[in-house]
Amino acid sequence: MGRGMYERLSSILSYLYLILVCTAILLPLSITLYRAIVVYNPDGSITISFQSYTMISEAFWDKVLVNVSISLLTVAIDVAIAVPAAYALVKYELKAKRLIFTYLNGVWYVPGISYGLALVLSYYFVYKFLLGFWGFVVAYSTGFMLLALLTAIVAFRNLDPVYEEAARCLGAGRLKTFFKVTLPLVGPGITAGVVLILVLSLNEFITALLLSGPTRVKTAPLQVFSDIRHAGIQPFVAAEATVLQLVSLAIVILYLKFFGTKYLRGAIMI
Amino acid sequence: MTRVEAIDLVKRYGSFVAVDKVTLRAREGELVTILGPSGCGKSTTLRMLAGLIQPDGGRIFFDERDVTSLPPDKRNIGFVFQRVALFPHMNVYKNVAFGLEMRKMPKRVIQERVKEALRLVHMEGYEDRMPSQLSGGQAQRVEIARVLATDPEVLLFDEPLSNIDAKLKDELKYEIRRIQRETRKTLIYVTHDQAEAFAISDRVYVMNNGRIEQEGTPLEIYTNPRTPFIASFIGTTNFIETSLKDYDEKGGIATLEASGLEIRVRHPSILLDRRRRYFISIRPEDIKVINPDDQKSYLNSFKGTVEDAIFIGTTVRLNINVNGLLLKVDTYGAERFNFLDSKGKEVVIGFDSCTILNM
Amino acid sequence: MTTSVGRRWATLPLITPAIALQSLFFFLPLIMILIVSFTYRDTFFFSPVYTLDNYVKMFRIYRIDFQNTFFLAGMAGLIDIIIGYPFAYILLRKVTRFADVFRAILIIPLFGELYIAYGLLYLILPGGPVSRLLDTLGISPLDVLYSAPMAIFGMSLYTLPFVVYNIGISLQGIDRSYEEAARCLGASRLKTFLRVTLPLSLPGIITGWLTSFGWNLGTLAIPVLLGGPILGTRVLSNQIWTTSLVTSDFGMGAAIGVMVVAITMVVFYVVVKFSRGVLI
Repeated sequence: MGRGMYERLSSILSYLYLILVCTAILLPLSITLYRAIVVYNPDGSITISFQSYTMISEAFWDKVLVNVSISLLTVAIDVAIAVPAAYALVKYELKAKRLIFTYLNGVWYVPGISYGLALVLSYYFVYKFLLGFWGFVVAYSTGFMLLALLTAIVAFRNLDPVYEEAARCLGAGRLKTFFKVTLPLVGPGITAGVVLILVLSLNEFITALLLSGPTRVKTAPLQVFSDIRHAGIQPFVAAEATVLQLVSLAIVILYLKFFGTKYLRGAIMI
Repeated sequence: MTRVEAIDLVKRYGSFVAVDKVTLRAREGELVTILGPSGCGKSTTLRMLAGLIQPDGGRIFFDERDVTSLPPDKRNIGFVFQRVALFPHMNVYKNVAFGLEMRKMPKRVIQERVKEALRLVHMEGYEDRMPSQLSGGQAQRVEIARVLATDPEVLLFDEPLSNIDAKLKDELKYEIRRIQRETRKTLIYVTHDQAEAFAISDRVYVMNNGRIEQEGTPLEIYTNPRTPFIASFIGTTNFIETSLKDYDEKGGIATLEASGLEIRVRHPSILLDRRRRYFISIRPEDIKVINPDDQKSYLNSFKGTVEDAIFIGTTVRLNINVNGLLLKVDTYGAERFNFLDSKGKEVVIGFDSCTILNM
Repeated sequence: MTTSVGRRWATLPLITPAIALQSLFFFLPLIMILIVSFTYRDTFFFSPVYTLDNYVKMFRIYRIDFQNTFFLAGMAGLIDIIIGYPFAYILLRKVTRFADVFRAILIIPLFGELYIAYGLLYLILPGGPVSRLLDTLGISPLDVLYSAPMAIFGMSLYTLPFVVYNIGISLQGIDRSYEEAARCLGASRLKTFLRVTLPLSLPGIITGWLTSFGWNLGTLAIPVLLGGPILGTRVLSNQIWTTSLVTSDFGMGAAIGVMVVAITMVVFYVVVKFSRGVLI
């Protein structure tokens, strides 16, 4: 057996392995979709129908709307807060740079279940005005800020300082340089953070579960969870479960189509 | 036209002194080069002139104006970088127009100026190209146009040709000289390439270890290097450690001794002290292989043995052993081929010019 | 080289909002949960009764829950290493075409544990696609479904991206010339891998396992929906939720919550020490 044969075989096996693992990753989503659209007829035949989607209650769509508003506000707040912070962390000599970075990332290392309870306690006791819709926005903004921060840091770090220096030398002030040169060049990198926050906040479950009681706000994933527990595995529940997943998937695919994986690598991808 | 003056500039990074009391001047419309090996502090000096780095000490004047603490956008300079710094998200036109837009010029004026600047660097017709569609040489031309369009007081070039291949580099350096002459702007040019510096400069500052070691015209620096560093950095040379034997002040001839040889130097440019040892520098091209009968017409002449003959191209380099002293000698023209197999032969060499170095 | 064009004071307005947000809505709540964990039931909200009881009782009452949680999360991490190591290795070393597609698929588990739980739940449940197959094999679907292996499988799917990421980062950090040198010195492919590549990527394996473990400590939907009524409900996350928000024993809920945070902190401290990547 020649060397070429060995290479061919190992390449085929490599692809087979990746496909196998990816199948497992895709399994839950595809099974849910299968449940939502495949109908068993009494005569034993199978038909595909999207009827289950029409059976999703009005209430669920309302919750999707709430969810989307929360997510968009979260993205806006996180970008507005994290991008300047990332800029400062990359561009300036700071004494306690590592400490600040760790401090800003701390929330990522605390399990959502504990963080959710801690938030609920502080809402009950200190931030009573946040018992409602804004409680979610604040919770998600704090919890996901790190994603905007990290992707922005990667983007700023990859930006050659020569462009900003050139702009300064050509007569652009600090602000003009930032808006005309820096921001357009790091924009695509920052969008990576936007996409991650959007996707994660649309689907956040545990923190939402804890917050929903005191705030009396219910998000779409919570509706799915309670429907699973009460209505079981009805097709309409499966349909509900796929809605936000498919939206998220669409966002991710759209993003990757435009920008590829380059801005996500080093942040959450290898 | 603006005069540039930097006095006692200092920049420290921790305990490392990158720039150590550098003073330099460029007259109106002059092209001045800061020449030195990488890491000598030349780029740092230029960046301080631009305001990209704040000096830890010293002052910078443009004419009478003290610009030391002004940010770069308030200095009205044109800085050309080593790496291509064209904004990748703007086409050539937008890039060249950028500085003009920052100065809030009317659209019509901007159009004219961009056109004029691109004409000056022979890049008309490239307005719609993106930087990624330009070659290295074209990008650097546009870069220069971008800088010229704003009509800056002072041009600062930081090794603009170091990433460009040799052939094009040769062409572009004369372009830069032409453009500087045409626009009559004061230009301070940083490079590590001696040939480049000599080809274009009115005056050269040679920098080493954060200090200016010598200042002068290219000719002065080449023929009269003041320190061993400059003698070796600029061209090739023979270093010989000697001791001063005699100094005839009337005739202006110093006699120095090394390996039992007496080397005479005419009109030494430094004060001599009998107790000290001196390094002297003799350029290989200043030494000739001569006819033994002509010995009288040279200030110094010695017998030696050819140890090695190396064909380099325009020259054949001989290593000649004189009393145990190994000297590099360059031969030129058609006669150089006669030396290709001169290994082991006895020859007579003669030279007039040599320099005593300041330690 | 960083530009020194900027001045130091300029950083304050840039970074303060971020620090303020985290201080107000992360660290302050964290301090609150710590304080509440030392109070009796829900007394904190009117007249706090401070006590150490919660911590004393916790290990007695919830010993099973600690055991279950550690077991499930630990096993999931192990499975992730076994699946994820070859995945990262192949993705970085062997595959050039479609590599970005595989990378993109790795994002899907980030959509959340709830969907993983639901998908797997339906897969096995009576009437589901696999149940017929199980029937013919004479296995009751419910035995498969409500079991530790099912929950572990779900958890390992959930955290696989993090493990692949950690291992990938450490593989990327290995200079290929070490491996080439080993090959030239006469080591076979397998020997080279076992003696050079694997030991050098050990930090990635450790951080990968710890990351998976840390994340799975907090999962709720997977153990509750897949682990069944006995195993699934007796995990720490479920106890935090039910004791505090269902039975209003905030003191105990907070104490368990603090315990989970403490464990995770220790775990991630080790991860940060070992890892060179930016994100866990």
